[in-house]
Amino acid sequence: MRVEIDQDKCCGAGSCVLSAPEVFDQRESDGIVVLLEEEPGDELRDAVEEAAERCPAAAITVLEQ
Amino acid sequence: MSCPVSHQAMPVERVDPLMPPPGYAQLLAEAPVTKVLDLIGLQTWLVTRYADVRAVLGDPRFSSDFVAPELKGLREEEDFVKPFIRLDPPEHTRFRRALTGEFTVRQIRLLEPGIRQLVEDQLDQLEKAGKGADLVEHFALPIPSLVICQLLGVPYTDHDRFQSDSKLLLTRELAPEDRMRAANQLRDFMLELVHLKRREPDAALMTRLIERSAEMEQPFSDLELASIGMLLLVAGHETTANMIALTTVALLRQPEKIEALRADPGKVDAYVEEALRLLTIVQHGVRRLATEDIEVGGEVIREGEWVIASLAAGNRDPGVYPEPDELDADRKRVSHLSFGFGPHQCLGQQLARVELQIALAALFRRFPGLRVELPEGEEIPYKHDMLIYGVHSLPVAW
Repeated sequence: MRVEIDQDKCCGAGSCVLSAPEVFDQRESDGIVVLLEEEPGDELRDAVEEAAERCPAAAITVLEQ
Repeated sequence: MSCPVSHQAMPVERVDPLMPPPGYAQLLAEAPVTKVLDLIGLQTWLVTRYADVRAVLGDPRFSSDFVAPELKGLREEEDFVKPFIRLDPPEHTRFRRALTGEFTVRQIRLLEPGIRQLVEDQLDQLEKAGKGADLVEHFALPIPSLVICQLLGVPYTDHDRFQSDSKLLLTRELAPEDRMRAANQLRDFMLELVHLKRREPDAALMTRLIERSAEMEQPFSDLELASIGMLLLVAGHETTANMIALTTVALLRQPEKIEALRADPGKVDAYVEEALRLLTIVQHGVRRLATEDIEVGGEVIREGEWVIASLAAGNRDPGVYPEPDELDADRKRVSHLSFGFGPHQCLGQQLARVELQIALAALFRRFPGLRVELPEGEEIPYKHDMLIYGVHSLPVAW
């Protein structure tokens, strides 16, 4: 699985960090999403999909490889 | 096809005070996108399904940039600054981005020890007030008020000044002049704060915002800073206070849930998410204005028409939540709509979560035998009259 984020769309709600802290973080200065892991392992699939589903700005895309 | 004028009123009467008006379940099943007469008598589309609520709130063509219809005519003063929840991107983004760094998961975690201490102090106050004490006055309201005051840098000794005006602003049926007066008083209160922080900078949010603003391409005016402060102050204490008290009422109805929570306090976050979903205190939903013709759930909403996205209905959509009316802390985690959706989704949601988790876990740990103790012949005064649902007061004993 590959994860893409769109920092322009991000509204800094922080939901992704709650769902998958191994994969997402927020920039200190403005709370915008930062991707920690572009290709997370399968054990994180549920968490990443939850993060994408919860994102209020649709800023997270999960791609299959 | 043009839609005829609707004479159907938006559901508003509750039967069970802890459930949304029963009309919503029927709309979800039979007419998930339908025209109604809203609470102020306007023809409005009412959207109830989870997916459709998300579609409306996530679509920038549904605008937030309008003067609340009930305030039309009053809000034409020159120095009136709209709160940024009433702006669309990119104007909205200028405000939001200046604040998101203050409310990240990491920033809020740093506040946890302070909140824990404050919750314990309020529990002491409640205990001292003795049996029959009002949980709202001694616990539910002071906690978020103190937290937002500390965060913003507002002296808590001023809480009488902002609590009464905040309450007025959230009253459903209020003469427009009275609403304006409350808004103006709050604005003046926040303007004084902005001026104070310019003279005497401290380590709190308003000072940081003033400093950040100075480096922005288009710095905030003092009136804009005051409008940000107002929004954070009102949104920051009323909502969380109502959730603390209302969740307490809801849990006291199901003592087995309190037992389960006490046995496994690590699950408090799941209980809080379920309480947020089921109680949906933004009880009458969120309004938007269509800026073009847009299809939602098979209906075409025309340019210039009003839409209300019902968070409470979407949160009980049976297609998304099996047994939607059950508080089930083991439910497969699906997001809920209580913080809204889209670019305006609650900025302070991580703070609200932490406050609720700490306050509720501590309350039931300290008072395992907590109960509602109403004077004879009295009932719990639910906030049917307010835009944000909750209880006006809650006498308790233990």
